[in-house]
Amino acid sequence: MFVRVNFEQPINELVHGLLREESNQVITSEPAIEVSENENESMMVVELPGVKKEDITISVENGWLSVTGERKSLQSPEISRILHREIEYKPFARSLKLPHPVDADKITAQLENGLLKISLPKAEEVRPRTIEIK
Amino acid sequence: MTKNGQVALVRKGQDALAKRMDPLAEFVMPLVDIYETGEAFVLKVDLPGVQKDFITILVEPGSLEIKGTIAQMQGENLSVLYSEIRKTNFFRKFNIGNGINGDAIEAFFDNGVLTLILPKNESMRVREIPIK
Repeated sequence: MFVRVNFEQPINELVHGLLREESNQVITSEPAIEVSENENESMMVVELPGVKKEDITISVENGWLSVTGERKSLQSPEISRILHREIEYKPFARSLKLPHPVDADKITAQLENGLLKISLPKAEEVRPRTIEIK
Repeated sequence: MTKNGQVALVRKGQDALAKRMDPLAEFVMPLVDIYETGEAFVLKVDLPGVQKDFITILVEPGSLEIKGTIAQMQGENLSVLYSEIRKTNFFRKFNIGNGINGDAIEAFFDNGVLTLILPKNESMRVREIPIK
């Protein structure tokens, strides 16, 4: 009953196949990210539609920021048939080398509309400062 | 190439393909799951970062269209260093038969996922036949 043109699926499968060979793992998916900054902080945004807060872990270690978790599939007893599946319900992981020293105590994160936004305040020593001339 | 580089390259390829479908269009196709229950068809559409007001759902006899725009994300004078998130329009169209009651379609948006419930017409519902 549903017919649609979709060129993405074969591309997705091809790429995942390639990436799998590189990493020897089949397990995790890699959500899309965006990194931006201003003089006081960096911001990392991770696309995590359909993921609950409690299924996400954010950690900072050795200069790396890691976001891991799992998108759980819907347990609905009413579903009699799955007609089409493109969404990945599996664990995900993304790591990012911190672009600058971070004030770890002040890292904040919020999940809104399927976007996880992590704010990474720059450590004091790397914030821009003006030098007075005496 | 780094993993990040590979992912970015693939998404560029996907966008290039989308453009080839309609060279004037700059849109992405959101991922969709389609389920069936006894009484309805259910669509789940991934639309992370989209605001409800920017989603348009159009139903015509025989077709269902989902489209909209991804609003720009943040001000706070942040400059983007690296991005895999596509901020173009999105669009997806489905042919649906006439087994659906168009007046009773419901839509919910939560956590970046759009859920559409398309109730089946009476004749399409699953029913158990008792044996006399």
